[in-house]
Amino acid sequence: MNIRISEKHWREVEHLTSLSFVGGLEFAPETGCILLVAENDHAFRPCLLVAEVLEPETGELLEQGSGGITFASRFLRRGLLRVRERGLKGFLTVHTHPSADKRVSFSLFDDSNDPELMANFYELEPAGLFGSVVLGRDAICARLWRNGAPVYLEQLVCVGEQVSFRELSGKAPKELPKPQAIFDRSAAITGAGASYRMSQLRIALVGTSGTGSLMLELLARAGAGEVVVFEFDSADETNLNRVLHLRQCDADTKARKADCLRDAILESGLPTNVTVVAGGDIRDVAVADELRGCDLLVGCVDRDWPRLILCEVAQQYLIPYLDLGTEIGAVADAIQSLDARVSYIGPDRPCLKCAKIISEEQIRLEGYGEAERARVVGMGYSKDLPLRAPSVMDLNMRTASIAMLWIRHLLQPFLKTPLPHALKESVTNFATKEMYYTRNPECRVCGEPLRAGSGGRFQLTTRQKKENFVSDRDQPGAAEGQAMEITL
Amino acid sequence: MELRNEGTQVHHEWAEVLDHPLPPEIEGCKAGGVPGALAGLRVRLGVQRWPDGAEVYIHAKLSDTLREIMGHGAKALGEELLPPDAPVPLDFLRNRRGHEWSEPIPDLKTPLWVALAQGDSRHFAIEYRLAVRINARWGVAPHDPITPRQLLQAFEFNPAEYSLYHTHSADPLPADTPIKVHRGECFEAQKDGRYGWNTVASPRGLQTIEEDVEAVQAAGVVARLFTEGGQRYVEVGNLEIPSPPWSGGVCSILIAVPGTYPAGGLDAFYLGQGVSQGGAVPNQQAAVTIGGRTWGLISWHYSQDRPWNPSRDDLASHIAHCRGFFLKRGVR
Repeated sequence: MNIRISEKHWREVEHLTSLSFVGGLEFAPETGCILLVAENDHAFRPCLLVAEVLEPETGELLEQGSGGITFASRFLRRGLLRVRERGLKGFLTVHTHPSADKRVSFSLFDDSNDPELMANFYELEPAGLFGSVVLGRDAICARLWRNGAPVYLEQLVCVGEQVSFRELSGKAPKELPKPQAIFDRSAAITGAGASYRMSQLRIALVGTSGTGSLMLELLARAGAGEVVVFEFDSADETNLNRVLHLRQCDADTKARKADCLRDAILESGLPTNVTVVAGGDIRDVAVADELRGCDLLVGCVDRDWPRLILCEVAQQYLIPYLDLGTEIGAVADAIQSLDARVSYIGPDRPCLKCAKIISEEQIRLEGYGEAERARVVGMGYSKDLPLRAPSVMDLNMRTASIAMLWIRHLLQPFLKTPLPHALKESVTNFATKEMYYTRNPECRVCGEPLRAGSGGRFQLTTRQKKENFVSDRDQPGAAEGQAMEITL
Repeated sequence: MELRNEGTQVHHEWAEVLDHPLPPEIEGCKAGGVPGALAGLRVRLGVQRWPDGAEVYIHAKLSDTLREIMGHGAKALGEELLPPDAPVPLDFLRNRRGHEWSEPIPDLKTPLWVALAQGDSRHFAIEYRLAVRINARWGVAPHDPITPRQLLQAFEFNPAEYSLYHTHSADPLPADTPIKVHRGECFEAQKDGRYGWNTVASPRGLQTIEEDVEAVQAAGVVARLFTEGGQRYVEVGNLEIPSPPWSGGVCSILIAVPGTYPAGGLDAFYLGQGVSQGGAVPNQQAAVTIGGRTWGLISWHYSQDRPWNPSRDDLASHIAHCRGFFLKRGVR
């Protein structure tokens, strides 16, 4: 099991424990803090999510010396109460071994004290999850206690300007395997370590039309380990101008786009596995649930509702999310703008609502059934959803290309940092702009401090699960009153 | 049929009058069990708070256990037993014999008819005790008021390691300030979290060198203990040193361990060949071969102001002291 933590929280941990690793101190003291965690209990990619770092208050670290430290019961108590208050799962104590550099492990003393301490936590919170972390200067060891025995954790995944991975074995980072020969020419920007990480990534690709099909191709050519495809649409003739690998025969048979793309990647012989999620519509709660089993989200959709869900998943499960968008602005036959955009959403970054890329009004409209939506639009206060937005492959390629470079950068940095919140290219003006947005402190997606890293504590804005629910996109003109309910 | 009706009538009268003599059918069936027809007979019983509450009345089947009767009685008295739904509550059930109350009835699985056949009256009392909960454990506070320390001890928590809290509070209750406790009150006991990399189980000054070596190994130090010619040494490898001025970034050192360790402290160390400062090693004494390797003895000592202290120093602190040599600090 891994631990996921935002870069901001990891910096807090480093700050709170820095005294242990200050150079020149002969007897640097042990230090400590508490990580409050939520659980992502995905069936085969479970992990702990750091929701908050609890700093000790004066007098809460006792007997603090170079060889030991005591967390006063009051400190642990505050952690427990905070876990209950926030509806989290539990916490991990963090302490340091100041003399440990590239290797660190729990001491005999830690081993002799942790069992009773953990038993105490579980007696107080039987359904919780508790454990401990020990930090050396360049090594980390972490364990959970379950049924009275330690279960050692695997990796610390830190999400921020980069996505970085630290082993939790207490040993120095192992040398990662070299990239396969087929990726030799990309080693300059995705070197040995990054290439290996790429091959281990499980990436959610939501939408596989104009930009999505290009993204799948780019991810496979970059050596992504697995791409999990979320797509419910079928091929038709109008897709042929921009959906990679789609053939006339696919359009004729109304083949599922996701299946066509999966087969194309399979035929290419590239090592990427493509998994197609049944149903494919992330507005359905069971489908959206699969997103949290991924390491990275790539959104290639043209609707606000799925974008909102992706933002929520990114915040709650600390998963970086790249949103791709293109827009052709035209009045009559005159082109006014050709824009390609990539936004990077993640912990401590503004969501697409704060970036005004998605709007409350649009989300509301998309949440209505067709008949209700028609009535609302008929009132004249809302514009209807554009059904046939113009789209061309050449413009889509520009946004897909930027997004793929950003993904490579997250694993091995080469772009200017800090990354902007979005990068927008105005093709008509030959201008590329860095976009920065301000987070609305009242935003329920990214301004809500309790949502970040909270796992399943908050429900995603998916449709309520309904028996025999039929999507209105699958069946245009579905029965009136069959509204898609938003679970805000 | 008439006989049965008559019998039933007699039993019903008996069932309603608390002090009516026990029918012979029950008295006589001590060994064989209550007749099936009587098992379901509901009899009137008196229940009160022990020792001198007002008596209330309930009906119970002859086949009910005393635990069930205790539950019915508690309901009638308006105060549930504690712990809730426990097969054996912490509260006591007593029976009145004449003007005296019995000792708490130990076996609450006994059916009512057996208890009656054995001479119990139909007057019961519940002794509500000062049951409180700490974490998941229920117990009885030995007295009231009581200090948190006493309460923790009563629940077998070591007050040196645990503090007592009210359920929603982050402030520990002062260990020696008496508090008033109420029946059913819940507390939480939180242990201190103790961690340490060289804080081994043995107190400083009583530890063995083996324990110290294990502790530094656990902390990531590459160390091994070996004996040559009856003398024990600890070899520490991969010790990071500043380069420059040293010719390499890591070195090995060897520490001789006196047989009297830890009372007899560690002092000085040997430096493995291979690192130097411009070809020379400061403070180096004679070169010796130990464990098949050549070492130079480094004169690096504790000062008189800060001598080895067995109750504070150990192998880990000595390694830190040795590192001071390479960093040009510490005592010598």
